[in-house]
Amino acid sequence: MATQTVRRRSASQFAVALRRFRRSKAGLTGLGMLVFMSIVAALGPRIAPYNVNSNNLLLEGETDIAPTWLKPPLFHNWAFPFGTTVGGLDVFSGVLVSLHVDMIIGVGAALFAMALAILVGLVSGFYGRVVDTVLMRITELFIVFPALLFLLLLSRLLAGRLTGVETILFYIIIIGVFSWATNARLIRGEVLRVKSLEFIESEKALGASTSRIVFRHILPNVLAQVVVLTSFTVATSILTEVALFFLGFGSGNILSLGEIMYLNFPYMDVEWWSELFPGISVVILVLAFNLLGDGLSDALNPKLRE
Amino acid sequence: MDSVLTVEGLKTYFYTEAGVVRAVDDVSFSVKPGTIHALVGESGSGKTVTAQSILRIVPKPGRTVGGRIMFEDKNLLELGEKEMRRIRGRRISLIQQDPTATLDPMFTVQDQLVEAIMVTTELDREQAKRKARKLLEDVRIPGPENVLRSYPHQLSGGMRQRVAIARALAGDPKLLIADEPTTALDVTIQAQILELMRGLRDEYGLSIILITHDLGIVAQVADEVTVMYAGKVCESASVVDVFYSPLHPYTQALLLSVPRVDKRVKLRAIPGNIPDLVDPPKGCRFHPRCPYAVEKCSQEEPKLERADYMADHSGERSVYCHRFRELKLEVK
Amino acid sequence: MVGELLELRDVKKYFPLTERYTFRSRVAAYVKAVDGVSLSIPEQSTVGLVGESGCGKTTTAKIAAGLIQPDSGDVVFMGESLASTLSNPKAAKEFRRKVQLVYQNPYSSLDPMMTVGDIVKEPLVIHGLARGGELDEAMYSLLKKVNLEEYHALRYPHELSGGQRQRVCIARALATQPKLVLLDEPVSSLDLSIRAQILNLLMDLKEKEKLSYLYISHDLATVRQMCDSVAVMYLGRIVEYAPTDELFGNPMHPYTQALLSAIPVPDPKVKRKRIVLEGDVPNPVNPPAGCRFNTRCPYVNQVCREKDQSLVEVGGDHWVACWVAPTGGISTFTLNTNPE
Repeated sequence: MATQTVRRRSASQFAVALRRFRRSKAGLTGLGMLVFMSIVAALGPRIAPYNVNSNNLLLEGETDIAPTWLKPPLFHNWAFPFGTTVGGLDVFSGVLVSLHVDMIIGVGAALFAMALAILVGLVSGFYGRVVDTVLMRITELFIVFPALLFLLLLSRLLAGRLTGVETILFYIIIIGVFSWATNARLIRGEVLRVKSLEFIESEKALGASTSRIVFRHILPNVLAQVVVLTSFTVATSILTEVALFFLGFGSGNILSLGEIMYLNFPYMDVEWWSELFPGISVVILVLAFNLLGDGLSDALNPKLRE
Repeated sequence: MDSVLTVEGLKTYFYTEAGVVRAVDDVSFSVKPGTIHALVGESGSGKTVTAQSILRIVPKPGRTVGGRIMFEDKNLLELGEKEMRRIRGRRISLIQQDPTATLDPMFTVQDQLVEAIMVTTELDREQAKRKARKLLEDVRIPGPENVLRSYPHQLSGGMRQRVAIARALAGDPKLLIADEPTTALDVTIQAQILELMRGLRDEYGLSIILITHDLGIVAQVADEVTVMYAGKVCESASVVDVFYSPLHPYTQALLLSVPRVDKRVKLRAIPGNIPDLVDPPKGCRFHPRCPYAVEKCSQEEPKLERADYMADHSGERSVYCHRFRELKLEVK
Repeated sequence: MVGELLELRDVKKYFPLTERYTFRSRVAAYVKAVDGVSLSIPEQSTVGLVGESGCGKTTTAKIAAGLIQPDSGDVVFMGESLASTLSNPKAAKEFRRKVQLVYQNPYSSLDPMMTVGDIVKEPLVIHGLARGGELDEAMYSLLKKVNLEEYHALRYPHELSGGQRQRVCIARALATQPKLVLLDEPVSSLDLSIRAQILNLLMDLKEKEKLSYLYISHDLATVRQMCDSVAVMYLGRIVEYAPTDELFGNPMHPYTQALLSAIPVPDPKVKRKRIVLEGDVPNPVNPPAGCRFNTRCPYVNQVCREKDQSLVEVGGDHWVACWVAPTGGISTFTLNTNPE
C-alpha cells in the first residue's frame, strides 16, 4: 500500500530548508534587500553620474560647487538626488561608488572569521580535554580583548602605508581576527551537541576513522549553524568597519561609506544629507544581513526538523 | 447501567500546514462507574487526543469539531471555559506519562499538594495540609512526612508518579484519566502503580480511563477496553471478550503479533504501516493491512454496530467492521 | 563446531563522579555501572541481557562492542583479547567488521544528512568491501534482505517510518557480514504492530546469515521469543543465567522471580501471584554491602548482608548468584502457562 511516486520533491535537508526559507518573510526581505544592494554595489562605479576622487572629493573640472539643498518633499535639483557637499562631492555618486567597499570588507572579514571559527570550533569540540581547554582560553582572550581600540591602533599605524587593494585585504584580516572568537565558541557548542547524537557513536562502531566522522558527519550537521552565524557576522563586520572609518582611523586611501561620513562630519549641521544617506545605506546593508540571518535560522532550526 | 462518561461521535481535527489531520474521527465509547476502562492503540490512534478532548485541552492547531461528551448530565463540549475549569482537576483529573514534567521542581511536595487541594476544594491551609498527608497515605507512600518535605527531584520515578496521582486526587474526582502512566517506569515499579490503581478503583469507586499501548497492562488491570486505530474505534467490550473473542481484525492481528512472557509463540506480523492521518485510506482505515478486507472495506467506512449478544460478560459491546458477523476470529 | 564467539571475563566499569573545584578536582564517588560481569556468547546463538534501568546492560553491551574500555577484566573475541586487538589499527578495523550494533532509537542513530543508500553503503566503503558499480549492487541486495525497496535508497531517514528506519539500521549492520550483532532494545521505540515484523526479520537473518546476537532489553516478552539463553542483571551484576525456557520456567533468584512476576501478561484469565518488591532500586553509587539485592529480598539472611555471592551452577547451565537459592530455600515460581 505504500505509494511510490515517480517524481518526488527532494527531501534532502537542503531542499527542505530551502522550502522553509521561502516561507520566511524576514529571510525573503533580507535576501531581496541584499540582492538589490549587491547589484547597486556592483554597478555603482559605472553608473555614478559624477566622478568621485577619494582624495580631494572634487568633481572633475569644477571646484567649489555650492551646497545644494534638498527641500523635502521635492528635490531641489534632480541632478544631485542626495545633495552635494561643500567639498564638491555628489553624495549620490559617493554612495554608489563606495558601497562595494563596505560589502567586500564585510563579507570578506566574515568569511575569514568563520573559517577560523570553524577550525577552532571543530577541533576544540571534537577532541575535547586539553586541546579544548587550551583553545577555549585562547578564544576567550580574543573575546575579552578590547577589539575596537586595537583596531584603531593597527589601522592608524599600518593602513596608511598600503596600496588600495592591500588596504582592503588588511581590513578584512584585522576585522576578521577580532570576530572569529565568539563564533568559535558557538560552533564548538554545536559540535558538542552533534557529537553526542547517537549516530556518531554508531559511526565509530562501523569502524569509521576520526577524520571521516569529523568531515563527513559532524561538519555537515554543524553547517546549518555556521551559515546563520556567517550572515550575522557580516552585519557586525560592516558595522565595525564603518565605526573604524567614521572615527577617522581609516587609511585615507580608500573611500567607504564610513569614510564619507567621517569627512563630512564637521559640516553636518549645514549639510546633514551627507551623513544621512551614507548612514541609511549602512543601515540597509546591515539590516539585510540580519534579516537574512533570521530567515536562515528559521529555515534551518533543528526544532522544526521533521 | 449509568455511565460516568459517554463519548459520542467525537471528532477532533488538527489544521496544519500539511493538511487536516483527522486525529480523532467519530469516536464513541462509555465508561461505567467504578471501572477501569482502557483506551488501547498505537501511535496515531488518537488515544491521547481523545483524553485532551475530554478535558478540552487540545493544543493548537487542533480543535474539537463534532460529537458530544456527556459527564454528569452535561455535554462537556458545550460548557464555557469557566465551567470547564471547575471540572478539570475536581471532577475529572489527568495524570501523564512523565511525572517529572508535571511536578514543579521549585516547590516541595507539600506545597504542590496543598495548592492543588486549596484550588479544588473549600479547605483552608491547615485542613489542606492534613488532607495532603492523607492523600499520600492513600497512594501508599511509606513515610509521608519525609516525602511531604521533599522536592520532586529527590524522589524516584515511582514515587513521583504516586505524588502526581495524589495531586490528581486532591479534588476527589469522579474520573481519573491516566495517559501512559507507567511507560517511563521500570517493570517492578509499574506493577506497584497498577496495583495502586486497582486499589483506588476497589476502595474508592474511582473510575479510570487508562490510556496505554501495552496489551499486558490492559489484560491485567482493565475491566473494559476500547481498541483504537488511526483515529477510529475498532471495537469496545469487556477485557475478556476483547482478548478471547475479538470481533475486529485489528484486535486479532495485534493479539497474534504480540510476544508473550509466559510462552514462546509464533509471531504473526501485521504487514504494512500505520497510515498517514492527513490522507488516510478510503473506507475502513485498517483495510490495507487487513487479511479479510473485501471491496466494500475500501469504499465505505464502517459504522457503529452493537454486538451485545456476543458479549459474554458485561452485556455490552460494539464494533466497527463490515464483516464482523461472518468472521470467526481465532486467537489461539 | 560451536565455540565461544565473545566472552566477557569479570568486566568492571566504574564511572567517576568528580567534584570540580577551582584548582583541583576530587573524585567523590564511583557509579559502579558494571561490577564484575562474566558472560559468553556462543556462535550462532542469541543471548539475552535483561534488567531494569540502571542495571548496566547498555554499558555492558558497549564494552562488548569495544566502544567503552573496561576498567578491569577482559573481553575476548574469537580467542583474542579485545584490548590488544583495538590497539592495533588493522585488527581494530577487522573487529569492527565482525561486531556490529543496532541501537534503540532508529532515528538518532542515522545521520539525518545522508540518504538511506549512502548510509547502507558507508560500511562497505569504510572497509573497502566493494567499489564502483559493485557498491550499488551490494547496497540494493542489502536493502532487499531487510525487505526494503530499491527506491528507499533515495530517501532520507526522516521520510521513513520507525520500522523502516530500524530496517535501515539492520541493513547497515549486515553490510560487513558480521558474526555478532549487539541489539540494544531494537523494538522498544517501535509501534506494537511493527514489532513483530522486525523480530521476525531478525530471527530470519540469524538463520540465513549465521549470526549471533546479544539481545538487550527490559521487555522480557520479546526476550522470550528471541533468545536461546538469558542473563538477568541487577545493579551491575549478573544475578541469574539460564537457557530461556529454564529461566522462565524455573527462575531461582528472588529478583528474577519478582521481575518476571511483575510483567503483565496479555491474557486476562492468567492471574498470577505477584511478588511485590518493596522500595526502589538502590543507587549504583552506593550499592549495599554483601549481596546487592539484600535490601529488597524477601529471603534475606544474615550472610546475604555480609558477603556477596558469585554465580554458582545449580544444574544444566543454570547459574544463580544467591546464598539461599542453591539450598532450595526459595519457593518455586513459574511463568509458563500450560502449553496448548
